[in-house]
Amino acid sequence: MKHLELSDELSERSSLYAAGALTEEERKEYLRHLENDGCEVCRSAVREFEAAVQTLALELPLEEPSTLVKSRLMVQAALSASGTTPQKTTRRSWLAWLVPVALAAALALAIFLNIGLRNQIQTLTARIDDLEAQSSRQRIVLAALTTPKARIVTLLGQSPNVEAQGRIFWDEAERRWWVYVRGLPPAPAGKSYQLWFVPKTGDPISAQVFDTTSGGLVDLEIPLPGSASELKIAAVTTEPAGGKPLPSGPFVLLSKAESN
Amino acid sequence: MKFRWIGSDTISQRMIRSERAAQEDSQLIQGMAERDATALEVFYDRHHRVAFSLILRIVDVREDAEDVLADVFWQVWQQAARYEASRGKPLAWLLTIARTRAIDCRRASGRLPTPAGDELENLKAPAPGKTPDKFVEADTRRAVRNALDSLPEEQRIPLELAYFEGMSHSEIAAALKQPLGTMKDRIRSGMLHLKKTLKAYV
Repeated sequence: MKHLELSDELSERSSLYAAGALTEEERKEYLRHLENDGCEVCRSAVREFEAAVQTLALELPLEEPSTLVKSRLMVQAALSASGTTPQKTTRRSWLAWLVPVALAAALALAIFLNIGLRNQIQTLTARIDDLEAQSSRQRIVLAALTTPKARIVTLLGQSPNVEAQGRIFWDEAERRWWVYVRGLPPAPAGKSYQLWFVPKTGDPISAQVFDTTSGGLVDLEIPLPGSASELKIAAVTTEPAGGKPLPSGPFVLLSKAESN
Repeated sequence: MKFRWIGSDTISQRMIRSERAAQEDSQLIQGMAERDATALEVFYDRHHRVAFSLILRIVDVREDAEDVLADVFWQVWQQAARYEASRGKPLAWLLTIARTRAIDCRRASGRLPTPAGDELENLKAPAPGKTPDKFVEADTRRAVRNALDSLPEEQRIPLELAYFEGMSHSEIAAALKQPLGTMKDRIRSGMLHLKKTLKAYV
């Protein structure tokens, strides 16, 4: 039932309601009246009295709660905003809830770090392999350079690999070639590179079948075949995988003709 | 004819500030209704002290009061979409929720009182304010203190027993050994006094 004006009795009822002084039964009945009857007279009176009585709270000495309260609340709100229904927790059960969450977070972190470490190890292993290869090349070059009677044969890149280049350090006394190549892309699928010792007379002699790294590098230590005599040129061709007895493919690296 | 020009301006300005604060709070509640957690955080930062102080005054156990405080703001977050400005300002809404939950907590713990002796004496000697809250202006607190100081004890005590202790009019009448009708009338008179003297602050 909607009231038309605020009588003393209605004023008393609304003030007691706002102060919290009604009995439980009276409070429920009055609340039903406010919510279901749409009585604006009583609602307005309650609004004003509630605004007045809440000033009692403003007069109290201010107290500061633990910061955990806000932390807990914000976590619950974030879960709620993301569509997850958080459990109602008290401060005591908050810790019981927090421990497994913290453990799960620690486990996830450990797994993440472990994966990260494995990736690091793989990267470092690859780096070590590269450094070992570099060190090997440097030993070869050093050995070649310090050999008393080393001849140097320069290999020049042929179209389309004009950027490729190579050097042969020829230890005549030991009948050994130290070869290093740069800038030569890996051979196409099903193909190999083949190094030839081309004498001044006779057929080319296969020195080595090889392939370059993805970085276009290779270093070789090759004993010269016994039949190798006076060198006319050194050459690298592209051949079917595994090489051929005689060159059949295009030149990729070629030295200048030697003159004796 | 005397014009209290300066006084009128001060009251107007105060009412404007009060209205502005209420509008800001309404916007924060709207934000919470839209699931903006930042709005909840700002609303909490603004009003958690006054809410906690009220809850602690009623509940009296710090740990329980902190649980209730969290529950209060959680309820605000959950019910933000249902808040209607026509039913009162956001702070009043918050404190109503806070008081109700605090009283429920006391009831659940079996500590709902019939104050006797010392507690009644304590009600007669209001505690002084301590740490200022920047969201409750100093002059508001002063005005509230003055309003309570000007409230006759026979009205202030029943009011505080109802509001802080959760006692009904009949329980108060029994505790103070006064007729029920007298208690109801004193509570109403005290409320009317607060409403009249603090109109510009609420």
